[in-house]
Amino acid sequence: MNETAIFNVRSPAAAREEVLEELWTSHEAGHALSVRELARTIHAGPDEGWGGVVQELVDSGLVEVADGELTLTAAGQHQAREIVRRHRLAEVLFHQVLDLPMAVTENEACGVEHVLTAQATDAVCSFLGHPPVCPHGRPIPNGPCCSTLTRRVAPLICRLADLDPGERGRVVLLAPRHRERLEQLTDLGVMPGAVLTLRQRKPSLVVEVDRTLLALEDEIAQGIYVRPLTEW
Amino acid sequence: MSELPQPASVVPPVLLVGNPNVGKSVIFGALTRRYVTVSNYPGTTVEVTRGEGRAIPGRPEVVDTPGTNSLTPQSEDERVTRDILLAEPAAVVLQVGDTKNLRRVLYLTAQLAEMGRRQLLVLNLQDEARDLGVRVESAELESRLGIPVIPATAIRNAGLDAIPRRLGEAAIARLQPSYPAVVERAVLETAALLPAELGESRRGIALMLLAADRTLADWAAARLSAAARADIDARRAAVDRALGVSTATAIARARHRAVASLLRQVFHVDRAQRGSLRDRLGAWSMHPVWGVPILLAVLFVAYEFVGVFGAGVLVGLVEDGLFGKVINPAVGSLVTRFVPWEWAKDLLVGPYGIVTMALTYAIAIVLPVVGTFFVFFGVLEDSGYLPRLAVMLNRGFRVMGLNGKAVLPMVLGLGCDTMATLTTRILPTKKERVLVTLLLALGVPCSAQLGVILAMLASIAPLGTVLWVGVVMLVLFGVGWAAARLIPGRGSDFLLEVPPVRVPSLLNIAIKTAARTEWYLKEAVPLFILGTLLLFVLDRLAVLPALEAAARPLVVGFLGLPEKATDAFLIGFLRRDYGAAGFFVLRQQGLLDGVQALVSLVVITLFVPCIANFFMMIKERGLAASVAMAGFIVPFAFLVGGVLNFVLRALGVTL
Repeated sequence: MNETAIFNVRSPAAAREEVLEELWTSHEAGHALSVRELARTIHAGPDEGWGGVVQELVDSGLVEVADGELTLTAAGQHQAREIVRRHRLAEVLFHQVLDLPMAVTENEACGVEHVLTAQATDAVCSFLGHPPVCPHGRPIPNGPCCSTLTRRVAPLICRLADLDPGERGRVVLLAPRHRERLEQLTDLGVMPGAVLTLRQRKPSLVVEVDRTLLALEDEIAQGIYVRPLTEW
Repeated sequence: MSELPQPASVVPPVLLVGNPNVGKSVIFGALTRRYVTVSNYPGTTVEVTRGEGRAIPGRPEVVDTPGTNSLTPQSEDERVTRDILLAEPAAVVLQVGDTKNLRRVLYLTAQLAEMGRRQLLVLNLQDEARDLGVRVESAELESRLGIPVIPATAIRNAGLDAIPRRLGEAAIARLQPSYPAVVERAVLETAALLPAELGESRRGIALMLLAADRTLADWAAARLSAAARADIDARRAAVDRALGVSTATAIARARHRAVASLLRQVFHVDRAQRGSLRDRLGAWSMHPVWGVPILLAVLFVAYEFVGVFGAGVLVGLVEDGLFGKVINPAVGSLVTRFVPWEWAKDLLVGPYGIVTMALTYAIAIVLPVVGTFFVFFGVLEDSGYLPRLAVMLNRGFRVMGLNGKAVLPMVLGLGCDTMATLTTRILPTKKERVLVTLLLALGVPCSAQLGVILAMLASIAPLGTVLWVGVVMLVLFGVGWAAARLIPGRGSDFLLEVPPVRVPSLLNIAIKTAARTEWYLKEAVPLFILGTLLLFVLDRLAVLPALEAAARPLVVGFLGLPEKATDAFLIGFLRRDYGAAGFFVLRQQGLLDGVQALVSLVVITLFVPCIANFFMMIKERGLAASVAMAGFIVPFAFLVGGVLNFVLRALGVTL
């Protein structure tokens, strides 16, 4: 168990949130959890004091125990939903945008879910284009930001190479491998704010900027992040 | 670099500067009434061309420069342009721009203004802009910039008459980007370090130095103390830290902001872009599926037009008809009648005669092929197909440590390897330039040679053509693959501007073909004569038989060719198309069987193209590298031929 995870377990607030998250996930999968099963899925021995954590949650009215099985109360569901939302959004950010391997992503998301404020969560959600599911394919609970902008389903930002031929995007960020590329692209008018249209991906990627066609190496195109412009 | 001020009485030279492929060379031609090669791909002009401005009062010198997107060069050809601007401080800049890409035009205008250059702006390609519904208010732009702005469609000669009239109104454009305060301060401090005689260009040069333009290092080393240079580096580092982006990026973005606000005032798109037939053709020609049949169709037309029509029909007409039936008999009888000396007769019409060998080869065998190739190639160049071919072949070229951009010089090599070697300047890294120079010299047959080869291949079984193409491609990719690993340095990633598809102008094709043919005759014929003289002298001195005997183990033993083939190899050192023509004649005389024909073709294809090409290699790559390349190529050519001979004989292949 690495440092982050230990931190999660040891911090009482984080531990409570872990339990809420776990209960949400199992409920989502359609089965209820007993205290013992909970301890097992969280990868900690029974002597680590999960009983105490659960007791605290029951005392604060977030969890109910009936016939040895744990269920979330309405208030508990509300909190769990926020935690799960943060966790899964973080997974999308780390795995799909920043390209971290899944194992790393999982760890990072476990850390982030406990520290992100509601405002930051909504910002991440908007940045990612209100993604409906996490990389594992499980639904991401909606936040207030999602309901105000329900029509947008495309991600808010993606790589140029991920656009479909014919799609347009506005350049948000240029991150080429070689520095001189950045200058050359800028000279050609490819810079933050410029609108690009992807013309084709194979045999070589071709984009249109203003009225100029540019053929680009895939590697260059992967360093160009754009905000897709959907025609309404 | 001249430090002397221009005498006041002399009309200052005119420098044509602009983005790539916007028509600078067309305007150069109109101003000088002289033809320079004009095509539809970025990088047609890689050298400075100078001419007398006969269409301008006072006939100032007019200088055509390679296209550039910025005065901070990204490749050698762009550097040529920046350097000429530094070297000609008094010259008036005639900026040529593509109207529909006004953003990039003004981006360059801003840099010229910072260099303190007096300029005019020609907004060319008005016809294409109109087709796209683009409208630029040139009068408004003119009053905002404070320089003459001249709309033109140069290829139709429209609007160009205003250039000589308004040349005197040239001024520094009022387009000064405002930089972040830290940058502005660093610019002022850097400019103060620069020699005072640079005058108004100091601001522009300070910006270049702050943008870490490495190509300016020599320039700076010659003019600035080590302390001053270290000072500039420190300022740049401080700006980088303060802004969180590189100084170069901050500068470029500020320029773009200034341009964008001007664009909003003068640039309008009246209707949405719609796909014209030309756009669709352009898209199909680089489509992953449709691009392939289009490429095959292009190759088929090339084969039919150059191989069958040029090398077959035209060569037959000129060689058998004109030379065989008219010129050679006529010259022969004239010589017999009027030239008393036996050796002089031989020199003119003998087996190594200037008329019977040199001129027959150059004009009867090679010229028809070269001519048809130039026509076909001109159409390809002007249509905009070549950059699309680069898009198609990019991935394949990766094997050789190159990318699609190298397709341009390699395909140009099919026209002339010498010019193609010069065109390697468009490649961004030294490694790529060395690789392409080597591959051009090794295995890209030029039009002259290609024609003779095609004609000869037509006389052996189709398998011969397949084997020839296969062996040459294998050698190109194999050597490219190996050389890419042996030659130090790095390649670059593919970034190429694809020009619009344009309908070739017949007039331009005709003029271009004529200019290239003239150039071929001027360059090749003297070498053909020289080669013939060499053979003649060697033959007279009885050295030739000795050489043939000496080369016997190699030519006869290793390559399995007749002794006479030595002659062709000898002249092949001067020009490999001449060597190929020698084999062509041997084949016609029935001295080569199919396998021998193929082996000789493979060896001569892999020879160093010609003396001129070798000199160009020395000029562009240096003596040591060129000698090393030639030292590898010649033995390697024989080695491949020998192995091929051995394999074909062992397998019992007949062609």
